[in-house]
Amino acid sequence: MGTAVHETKKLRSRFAIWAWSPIIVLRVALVITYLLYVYASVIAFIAGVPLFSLTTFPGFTTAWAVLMGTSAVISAIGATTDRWQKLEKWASLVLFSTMLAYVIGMNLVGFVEGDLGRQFAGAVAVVAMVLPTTRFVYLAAQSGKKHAEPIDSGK
Amino acid sequence: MQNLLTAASSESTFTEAITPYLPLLGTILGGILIGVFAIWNRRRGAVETRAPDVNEIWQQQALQSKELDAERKQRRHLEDVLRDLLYAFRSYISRVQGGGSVELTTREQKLLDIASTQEVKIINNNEERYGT
Repeated sequence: MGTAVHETKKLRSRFAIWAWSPIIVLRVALVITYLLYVYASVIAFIAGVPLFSLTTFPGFTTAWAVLMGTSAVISAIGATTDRWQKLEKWASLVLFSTMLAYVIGMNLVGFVEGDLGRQFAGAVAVVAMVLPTTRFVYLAAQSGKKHAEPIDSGK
Repeated sequence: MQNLLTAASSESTFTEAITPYLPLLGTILGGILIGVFAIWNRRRGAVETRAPDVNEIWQQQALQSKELDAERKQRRHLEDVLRDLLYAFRSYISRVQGGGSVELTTREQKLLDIASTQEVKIINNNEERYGT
């Protein structure tokens, strides 16, 4: 087993090492990002989303906003401590998928209609998605790992 | 604005068809991602470890940057030696072809000596030369 791990490590490309090397994003930035999603979803709930008014059935936007807001709140709570990473993983999956719908919809409609204004908003939405998506992919990458024996369990 | 909305909705039937299902699609894709990672980690026997703290990340980065710097320095030395050799070779050929002396100059002799020794020697010579 040890050899297999060693070989896997050896196979990692320089790009993979670079791409997966951690840099420090303060926890507060992640929590604030999630809370801003809550803010956005509240607005979406009250005022509706023009894109979804165009492309989906009535009631979709409300459900979408509730789903996004709830998952963002749970993600924010999950992000406050490492012990709740699993909760954050599943909540951020829902957040990721709801936001993905908006991003793809915005860019698709913008592209089809040749509406650069909409495409710009879509591009900004992509930017807003980067941090939560990266976090989700990182948390997803932790799935299925065996739990190590706690070193300082006596403390 | 209303006209624009009506016009837009009439043209985007594909988007209309797909957008309501995008959250579902995203969830499925994300679920697949989690599942693939879970299987991969289990097969690899990966053991969960805590995330490195700030100090450990900085130490790791310092270590890696040292290694990378050393590698880069070595590569540059080799590139310099190669460039010098090529330059000496070309100038020797052009001198001989132009009817000049076939005897090696001091510099050419030195480069010939360097080229006939080991790679380590080349690097050492360059280190003396460039004072690194």
